Amino acid sequence: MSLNPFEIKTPESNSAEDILDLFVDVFTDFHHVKEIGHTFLNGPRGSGKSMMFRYMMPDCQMLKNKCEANQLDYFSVYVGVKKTDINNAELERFSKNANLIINEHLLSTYVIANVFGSICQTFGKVLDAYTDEISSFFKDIFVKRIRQCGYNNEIDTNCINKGGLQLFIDMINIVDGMKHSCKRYCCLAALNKDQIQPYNDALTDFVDFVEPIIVGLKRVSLFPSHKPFFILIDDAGYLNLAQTKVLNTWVSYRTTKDICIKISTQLDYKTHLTANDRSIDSPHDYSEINISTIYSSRNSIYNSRIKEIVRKRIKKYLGLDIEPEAFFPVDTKQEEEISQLQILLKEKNANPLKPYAGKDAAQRYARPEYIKELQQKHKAGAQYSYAGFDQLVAISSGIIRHFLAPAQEMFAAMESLNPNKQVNYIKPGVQDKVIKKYSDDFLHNQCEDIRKDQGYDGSNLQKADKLYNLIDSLGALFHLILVSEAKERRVFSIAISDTPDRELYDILDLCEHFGYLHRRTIGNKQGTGKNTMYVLSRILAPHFKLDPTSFAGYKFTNSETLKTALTNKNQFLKQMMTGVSNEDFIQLTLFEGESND
Amino acid sequence: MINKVIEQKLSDFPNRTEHYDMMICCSSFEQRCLALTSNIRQDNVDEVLVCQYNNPAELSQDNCDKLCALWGSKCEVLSLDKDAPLSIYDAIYEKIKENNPGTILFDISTFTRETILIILMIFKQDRFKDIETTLCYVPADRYSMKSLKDHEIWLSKGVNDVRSVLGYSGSFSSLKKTLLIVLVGFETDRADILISTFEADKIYLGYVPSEESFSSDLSRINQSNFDRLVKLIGDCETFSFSCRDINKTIREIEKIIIENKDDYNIIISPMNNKLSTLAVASVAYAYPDVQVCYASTNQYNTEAYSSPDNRVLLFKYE
Repeated sequence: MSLNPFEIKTPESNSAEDILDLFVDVFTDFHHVKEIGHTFLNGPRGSGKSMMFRYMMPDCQMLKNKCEANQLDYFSVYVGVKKTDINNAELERFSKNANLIINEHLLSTYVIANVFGSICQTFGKVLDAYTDEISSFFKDIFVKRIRQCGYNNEIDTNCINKGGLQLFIDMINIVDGMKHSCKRYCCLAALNKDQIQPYNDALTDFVDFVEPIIVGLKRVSLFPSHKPFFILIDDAGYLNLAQTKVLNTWVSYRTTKDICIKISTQLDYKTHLTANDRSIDSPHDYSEINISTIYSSRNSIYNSRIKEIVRKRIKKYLGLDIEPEAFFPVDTKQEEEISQLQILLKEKNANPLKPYAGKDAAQRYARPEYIKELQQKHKAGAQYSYAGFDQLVAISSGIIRHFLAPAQEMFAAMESLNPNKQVNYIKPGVQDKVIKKYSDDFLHNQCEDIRKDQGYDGSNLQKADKLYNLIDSLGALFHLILVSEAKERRVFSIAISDTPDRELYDILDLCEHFGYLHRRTIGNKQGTGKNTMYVLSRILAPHFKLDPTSFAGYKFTNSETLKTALTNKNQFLKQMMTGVSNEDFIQLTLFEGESND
Repeated sequence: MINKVIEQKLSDFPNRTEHYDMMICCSSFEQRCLALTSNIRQDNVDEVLVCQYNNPAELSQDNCDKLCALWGSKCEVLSLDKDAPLSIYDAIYEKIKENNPGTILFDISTFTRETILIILMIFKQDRFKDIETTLCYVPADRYSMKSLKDHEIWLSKGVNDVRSVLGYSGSFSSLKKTLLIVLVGFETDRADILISTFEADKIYLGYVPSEESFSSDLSRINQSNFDRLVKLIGDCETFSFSCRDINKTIREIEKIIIENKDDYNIIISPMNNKLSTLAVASVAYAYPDVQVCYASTNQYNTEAYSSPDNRVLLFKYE
């Protein structure tokens, strides 16, 4: 059995060579990440954040640029936030006193220990070639700084017979020790609330510890002296509220000449307030990238990125040098029948006064007409097939994991069909079956989880149900429009002409959080301002029997009508479908008029 | 140390003569919460602290009322927020301090695993170390499954939060990788979310062989859930543990710890029955660097929950 080329692995465990083989350069789409300055990189799980961070690490960059570490444009250190390392229940004891001081100390020591750890992991024994410089850093900067922070334990400053790597390991142990001693204190205080003792150990922060340590490190000739250190803080949503405020305070400092903080979140960052409860703002303090917004609004770029990712993976793992379209072939019979329909529609709509009318109608109506015909024949078992690379990419809706995860299942299904044969392509029937199940699960399983996660509270439980009703109503509406006689049938979005009330706003927000809807803004009909538009995730296209590939039109409504969808699907559909066949839907050109919000 | 004292029929329990200054139990939607309190002689207990989770209280209110009616003026209800571990610790700590008991009977049967670990941590504090503590456990006999298929049976769904248990946050080295040990039970959804949250470098999933389970039905369902989880996770090690024998589970977990502690920061999540949770507590006391984690849920399947077995197990906690 061969390796599954679509398996999703954590990028940190991959070698630099593997990363270079697999990584598709997406920095033209997200250029801020590589530029000097603090950056927030937001995206759901599986959107490629950790892969980007891994690619920015010095081993990958040295290999890519064929240069030494000190010739790099930036020097990255990776700090992956683990859910329960410094975010512990015991810290709650300090929620009223010393909260920020204790949490800044924990975060500072966590970051510096991980910076050192990242350097050790990347360079290992190579550090021994820089022993003298590292010894100087150890004695002149590190020891001096931790003494100033109140570290009183004995330190062996005799560096004779110690190599650079060992010195870094010693420093990690010292910094870890500072963190542990604070955690121990917090634990004792939490468990003995009657007898909280004064804290007598070291306390570190950004200004007196993190910054001078990193600036001092830059003097070691292994690192690029006039270029910044990029601290890549992965999954910052796992920090507690106080630690998040501390990190925001670091972002508010003007240190980007030496230190740029690149923060990834799974759209779960707790606050943008600093320790003083002031807000950090973009673009003044940091730049911000929302991966799924960019990819869901620029489909062609996303398509070419996925194509490159798939091409690299099948080449590396299967030794196949073929186009992704050949590996994920379309249902040929279906495509031929759609082509026939296109010819018919082109002839039927030909108009000598409007030279593009025939072609336009063929393009616009062939697939909806085909889906409609199949629906009429449904009793005979005919169903629209979602096979084919382009459809699968469109369905993945701007999130790479939503392409890779079903592709992994498709590959495994093909292997089990022919256990002793290499998989050279994925049968259209297998693609279709897996992606339909994936789409159904995305709605049902996740909705079920939301229902559970929202808890017992009556109003919250209703909120989960209303969320389901809203998505179900929108999906049903878009399907009805698709199979109607409307001029524009490929509708995937709804624009709201007024401001939703709190209840609707909260539910739309929840839909966005869980990836069912993407929010954008669009110019209003009068051209005098902007309205909010919600685009249905194309992952739901198979579930609602929609065409995922088209540029969709959108339908204007007001929040009162949309609210009926929360509780009464039939009434909503009746209201929205009134006069639909004659209605002139607004069609989006290639996202003209839209802006990300 | 947690040592088993006796396993006996619940119906024989009224014959026992030990006296307890205080009993701590938890009112729950499960009938199990009444099993021991209905079978202990009332003159053998001075005070009863009935803990009740307030999120939400309605589900357990019926049984809470029954406990109050049963124990009358000896009974005090303590409301707990199950998502506020420190407030649970403080509230129970204060009650024990106030009552100043010499002996405590702690019925762990229907507390959450996290609360059990938190209460055990209270008993470890110097102030309370002289209290003679007896733990008791009434196992589940079967679950009201409403003719569902094995893979459809669920006890809880959805994860509200993954957190380290108060007092068990361990101590991690930045030089080590992460290893996660999960004692897998019914709740594979929760286990899956917990595993994805940690993205550990090495994963050990524990299962209970049929001979180590209290019921062959439960064992069959557990095994099927376990197989499904292993298939889902893919790259992981497996090991067996016991739902009946605490020491056996301790030995199995210790084996993994000893083998890996030099290279890995170790996190354990007890997701099987309460006895295996006691084993995890023992291991955590012996290896303070190890962290114990808990995935909290908001939704319990109140229809599928258990009916009590006709057995009770008693343990001495020292």
